[in-house]
Amino acid sequence: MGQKGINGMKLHIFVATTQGLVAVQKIYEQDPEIGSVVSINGTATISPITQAYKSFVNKGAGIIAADFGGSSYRVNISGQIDQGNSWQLGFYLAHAVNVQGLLGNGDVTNDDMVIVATGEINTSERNVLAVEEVPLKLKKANQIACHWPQSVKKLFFIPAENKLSVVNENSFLELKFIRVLDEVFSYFPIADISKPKMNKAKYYALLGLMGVATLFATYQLNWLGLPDSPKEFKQVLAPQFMRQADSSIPKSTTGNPMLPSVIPQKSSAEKPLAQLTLAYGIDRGCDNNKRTYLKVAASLSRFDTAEYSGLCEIIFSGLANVSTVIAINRHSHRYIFATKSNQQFILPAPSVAAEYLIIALEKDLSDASKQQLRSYLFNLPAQMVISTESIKEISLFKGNQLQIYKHQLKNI
Amino acid sequence: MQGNKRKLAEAIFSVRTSYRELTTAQNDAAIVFNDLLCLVNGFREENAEYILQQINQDVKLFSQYRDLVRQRHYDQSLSLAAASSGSDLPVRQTDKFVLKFKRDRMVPSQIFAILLITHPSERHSVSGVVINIFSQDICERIHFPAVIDGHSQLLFEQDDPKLKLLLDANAEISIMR
Repeated sequence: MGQKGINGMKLHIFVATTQGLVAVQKIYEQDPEIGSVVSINGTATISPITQAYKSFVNKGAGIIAADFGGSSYRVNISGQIDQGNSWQLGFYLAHAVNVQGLLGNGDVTNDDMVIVATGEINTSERNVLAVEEVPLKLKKANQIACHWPQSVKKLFFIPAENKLSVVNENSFLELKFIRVLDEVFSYFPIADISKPKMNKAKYYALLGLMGVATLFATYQLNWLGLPDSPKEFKQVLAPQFMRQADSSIPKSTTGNPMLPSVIPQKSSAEKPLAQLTLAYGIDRGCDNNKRTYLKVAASLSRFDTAEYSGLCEIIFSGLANVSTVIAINRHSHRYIFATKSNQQFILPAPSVAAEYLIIALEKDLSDASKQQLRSYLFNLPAQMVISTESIKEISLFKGNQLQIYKHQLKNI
Repeated sequence: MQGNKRKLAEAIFSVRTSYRELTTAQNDAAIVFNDLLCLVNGFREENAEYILQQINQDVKLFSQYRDLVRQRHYDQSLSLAAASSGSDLPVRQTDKFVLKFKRDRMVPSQIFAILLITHPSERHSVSGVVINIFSQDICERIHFPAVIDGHSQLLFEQDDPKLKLLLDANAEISIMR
């Protein structure tokens, strides 16, 4: 029961109770006319927490429907959970794992992963609240965990507010103290666990990202930021940043007179070099399509830091056999796919000065891969700075030739 | 002599009656009208099972109870006038409530009974909803959980006798206040 993950692993979720561990065995969506329900071992016996779970699912007060979609679920659990809200963290984890088809049924076998959890969730603040009887729950959990194979990775998620009450001696479970709900995803297998729906902040961020032509025509989009109105986006060009048109840049051959043409290669024998050209607005910012261009020098895989103020577009070119270019903000994790225009890839200026990676891919990404990328970035810990190495580790890029460049835009 | 015999007979009768009263267990107590009234109004639920058992064994009690339910129900659905639309799960619908059934998506042998009440009372929202079902000579009470957003439901195995009564198109179903 429970599909095996990419590497055959199942991830079992257990709710810690004062009576022992209760496995979340199965979750599936129901007909919307049927209310969410928690049943015991798949029988018609309903758990007393059903009503509370229903509220936990529903949009508004709850969090499950908002984060994972759907409106009605049935959850089968292995035993009774009688009262309180400390089951919420475990149930949330189970939904997150279930979305990826990795949820185990509680029968832990070699090389599986187990997460035991106790915690109540503040669904509006998305933080994990303290609960009662944590030492007893830990004791009961260890009594069961000691029987699981050694190859099983065993974690116990506890609210950070309960940390002082816990003595971690001779525990078979590795304790993790969780303060904010989204922290939990950092413990999941990378690129395997994701939320199919984003929270509101990132939804609006990606709305601008997803190539909505109308928005691009009407607004000047930030990198995954809220769409700005044309008025708001007008920039005051810093005096030091006024540039004359660079006559060394050939006229555009791309059909867009505003774009510089592709710089011809000196010799076919030379290895093609990536080129970064920054287009800055003149006079009234970026509205009038008047530009000055700045070619940025590169050293190994890093382009020189450049001025952010007045920037309208970023043009990446020069490489052969590139079908897709993605830019990822190293700190905010926001990303955008470049627009291809002949052999150039064009990115809009980010909303703020940023340090970012440019990823040039040989092959196009499928829709599934794009979703996987979105999920991966969305689930990264907020404080993580994305590195070239971490990008290379992403499984969706395997089999796809990629080159990665760093660049930083600063207000100089 | 005759007087002594009569007195003795009376004394023996009294002793026997007293003995029966003293030694008879609580659950064998006679059901009186007040018990029926309490059951209809949802009071003394702890005795409900016993009282219902007695009702189903006594024609007179059955008739009295059914009359009380008919007088005090929130709404009622008599037997279905026509066959259902082809589904094996009938729908009962009045102005005040809808009772429908849905199979579990993954376990088709389990069926949800979904009760929708248009304007639930405070009691419905706090204590839940009691349904009385009269089918031929059987009476059954089913207690649905508290109504939330007009919705309450129960889950049954398809061979559950209570579910069979709920699905009986000829049964008289009363939603209590």
